[in-house]
Amino acid sequence: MVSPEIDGKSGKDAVEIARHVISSLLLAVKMSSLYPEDHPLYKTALTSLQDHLDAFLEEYDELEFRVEKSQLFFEDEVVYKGEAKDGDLAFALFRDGITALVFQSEWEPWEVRLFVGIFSKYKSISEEAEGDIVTAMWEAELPHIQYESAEHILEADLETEFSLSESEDRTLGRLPPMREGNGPSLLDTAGGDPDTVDRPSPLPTIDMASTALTHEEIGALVEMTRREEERDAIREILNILSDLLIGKQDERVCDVVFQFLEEELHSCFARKDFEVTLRILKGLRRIYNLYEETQPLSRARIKELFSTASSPDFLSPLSDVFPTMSATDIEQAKKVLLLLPSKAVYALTPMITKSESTPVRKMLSDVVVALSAGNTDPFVEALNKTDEDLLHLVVPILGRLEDDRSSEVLIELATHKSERVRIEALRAIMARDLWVPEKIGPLRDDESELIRELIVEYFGSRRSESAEAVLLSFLQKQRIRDKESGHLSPYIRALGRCGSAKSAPFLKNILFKGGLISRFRGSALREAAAYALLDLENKESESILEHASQSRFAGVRSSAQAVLEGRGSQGDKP
Amino acid sequence: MSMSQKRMNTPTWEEALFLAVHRMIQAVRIHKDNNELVKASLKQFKKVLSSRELTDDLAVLIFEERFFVDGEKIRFRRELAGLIQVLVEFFRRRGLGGLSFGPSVGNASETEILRFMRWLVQSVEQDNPYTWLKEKLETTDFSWIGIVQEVKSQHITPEDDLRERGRLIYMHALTSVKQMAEKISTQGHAGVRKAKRMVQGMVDIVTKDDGVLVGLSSIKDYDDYTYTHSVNVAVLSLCLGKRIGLSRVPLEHLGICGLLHDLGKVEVPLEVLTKAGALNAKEWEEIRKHPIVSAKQILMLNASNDLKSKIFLAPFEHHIRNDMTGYPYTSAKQEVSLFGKILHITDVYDAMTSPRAYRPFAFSPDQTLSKMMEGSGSDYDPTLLKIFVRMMGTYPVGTLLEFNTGEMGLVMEGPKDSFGSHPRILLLEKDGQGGVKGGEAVDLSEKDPRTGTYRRTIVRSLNAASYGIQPVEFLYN
Ligand SMILES: [Fe+2]
Ligand SMILES: [Fe+2]
Repeated sequence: MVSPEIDGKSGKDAVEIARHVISSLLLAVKMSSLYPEDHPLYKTALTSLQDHLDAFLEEYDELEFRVEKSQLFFEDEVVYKGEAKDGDLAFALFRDGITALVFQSEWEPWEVRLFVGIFSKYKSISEEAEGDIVTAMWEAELPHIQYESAEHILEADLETEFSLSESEDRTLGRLPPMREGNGPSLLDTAGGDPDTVDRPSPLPTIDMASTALTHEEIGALVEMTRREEERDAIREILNILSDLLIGKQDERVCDVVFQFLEEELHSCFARKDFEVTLRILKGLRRIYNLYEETQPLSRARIKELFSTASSPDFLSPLSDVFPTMSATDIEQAKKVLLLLPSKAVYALTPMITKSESTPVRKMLSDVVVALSAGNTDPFVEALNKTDEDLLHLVVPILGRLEDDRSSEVLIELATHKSERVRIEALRAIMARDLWVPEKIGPLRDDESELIRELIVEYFGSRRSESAEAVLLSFLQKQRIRDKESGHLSPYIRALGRCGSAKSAPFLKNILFKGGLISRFRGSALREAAAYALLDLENKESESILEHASQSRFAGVRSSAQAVLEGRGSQGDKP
Repeated sequence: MSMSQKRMNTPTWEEALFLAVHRMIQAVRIHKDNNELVKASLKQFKKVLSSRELTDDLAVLIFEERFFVDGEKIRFRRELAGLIQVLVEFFRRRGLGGLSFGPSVGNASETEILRFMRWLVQSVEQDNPYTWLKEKLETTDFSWIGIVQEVKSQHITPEDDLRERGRLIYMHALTSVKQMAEKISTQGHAGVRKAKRMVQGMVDIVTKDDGVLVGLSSIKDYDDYTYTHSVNVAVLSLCLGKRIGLSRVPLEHLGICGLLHDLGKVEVPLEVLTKAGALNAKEWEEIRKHPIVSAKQILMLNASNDLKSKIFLAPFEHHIRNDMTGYPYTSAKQEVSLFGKILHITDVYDAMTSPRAYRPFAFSPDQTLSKMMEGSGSDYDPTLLKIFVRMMGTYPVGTLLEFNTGEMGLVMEGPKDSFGSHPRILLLEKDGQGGVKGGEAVDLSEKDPRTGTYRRTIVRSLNAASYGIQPVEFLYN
């Protein structure tokens, strides 16, 4: 009947392209559930779908698929055959009551992308889902991807699932017979006229003209709708939640409220909304503090929530937002984190080592220090887990803590095999003014010059018997040979600053040693000993210096004289 | 591109036919029979028709702006969309539903074809083009062509369709609320998918015609008060929301708020809810809890926090008055949200117009409105209330009226103008079985031509539900 050269070919082509559209749609949906939107595989699949749509819609006005339980039709041809089961393309559409799916020629890429996303999100839904393909399409309002839907799914539910409505048979409900009385004659069978009781005048008193909106009212209305859009739902919910929580203690309600809050907090972190987070946490704290006696359940839950919010899992989204945080964000985040219990330190410490932003690292360090006050266990635990290469980044925090436990750790770290760690540990010890010369004594001959310098500074920072003992025993063990022993002079000088009369004989020894040998003249060691003697500031050392200044050996004499003359200007400088 | 090129060169037979018909129509409109364009189009027309061998009549029909050839819907290339639109319009203006070509079309003479085409073009000037054409054809023996009268889709007007859809959605919405309430009280949680679908359906309707939903809100159910009430509040809130210009998605949320606002009543003992007499202090306490419980139930729904945060507040607030009195007491709020204000108005309206166990009467809709106006400012947001009252009109749809003639009738249509103080009425008659049935539809603005006075004036308004009348059953069937 139809002339094949005119009709046959293009008709067949169209069906073929329609099939391609479906298969590429399936692929795009699959890719969208596997990969993020910017992934090349997803993008390729999407482009292929768009190409096929193009191929069809360049020529035709629209592409319509008819939906059946497990297959899709284009015209009368089956272009997709699936199974009537969850997740299937046709079945999902059918499940939601979609009878036809139409792509129109003016479609735009964003619509297709959104559609693929909707389908992939809702292709299988739970019995108690929040929405389905239809509700999502309705909300998305795609201008050129249309659907026709019927309510048959809900009909089916009416028949099978729900017993309450059976008696109704979907007619309107019963209305009661009315009391006896003087009803209108027409309705005498229906009973009396109930409206005669306490009713206003028979004719309405509304003056419709008075319901015209004034200019101000129109303005107020606009303002009201605008405010509605800007409404701070979270703040209001928090207020009400507080009311719910301080009400009757109901475990289920508590569960729900806290689940809500937990999810909200979680998503706040992910979207950098620290203001809301702050509000939630502060609100909860307020409740916690306010109802110490009366609300054990809520209080327990609040504690639990704070604990959850401090866990690494919960806080990890922060790592992703750190790189893009502004100074204000950082300030806000700090306020939030400061509200968390010390447990959070365990999660936050690794973030310090991972962050590349100095302000973020500083903020986190401040938080860790603040949260560790009172309990440094989480921090110590985090330190133990920290990669050796990164450890030095967090050691300085120890310098800002005050408890014994962290001191121990610090002292331990002072002999860590990594030079950077030792340096930071030593600095931290000094920053804390932790006085443990015996403990860190071994660092006096550390291979690191910087450490040796720091040790000298540390030991020389005060009079101390223990420091003196450490230095003295160290120096006494050295074979003092001037040429090779120049590196010892800082120690000798440090001994002068920390030592006592006990050290005088040793220093005297150095000062006078080898006086006969001319090349010993001007020796750095001799000079250091002279200075040290000066620094000892006791009678014995003074008399040694006096004596030395009159020595017949030029080297000894000049060293002592130089020191004595320079006293007060250079002599007291380390 | 190559594929489309190929197809451009080989139009389908149907496309060729429509092109030819279009060309002929254009040609004969302007030119005489001997014109070259006319001749060429005639040739083209004949060529197309003879290329397809017909064994039976071939019907080319238009239905809902689409062409069907032999019962099959025809799709066109985009290039032809404009032309097809022209043809659809051409046939529509002539009251024609299409043409049918007989098997002898290939042998039709050029004169006959031209004559028919000219009639076709001219018929538009006739009062009844279809009949005129039919008569013209009867004077001939053209067996190759026939005309088909236009069919209105299923004889259902868009308004009827919308009403039917509204009614269906109302019923589904009712079920979805019941279902949710039942699930919550048995399992402690429920999904919102169906409620959402129903509300979306309602939003679609309200955007087309809010009168349909206002009419539906006259549905009252004594036994299932809480559920019909919830749907009514949703429906009326949507109408009010639309009036103040809310867009689709906020309307969706508002509708869900309406459906769920009294969800908390599942925890109020039934004896208290249905108690006939006055409530004591303890019972009142139970009642006053329900907005808080509603808010809790909403939090317990299986839904995203995003959705919950949008539908949570208004149900909590729906008994708080404009001056912040009412219940529940909340320390933190200075003002009720927009949705809360809307819900408060529609909630009171529906409650007052519903027959309840604890009061022996229900107010008629217009009485309710005037009573509510007394609370403007203190109880209700004055602006929203004004808009609500204007929306409902002097006599809202479904109001039962008694006239000076002794007749009774139901208000049929929402206010179109003059605030509905002279609405259209469906008169009620006794059905002979103790009930009433719908009679004639009349207009209250109708005047007696002899006296110049209104034929019927309102004596009083009544609450239809209080008389066992569901206005919807009369108005929407
Ligand atoms: Fe309520
Ligand atoms: Fe209510």
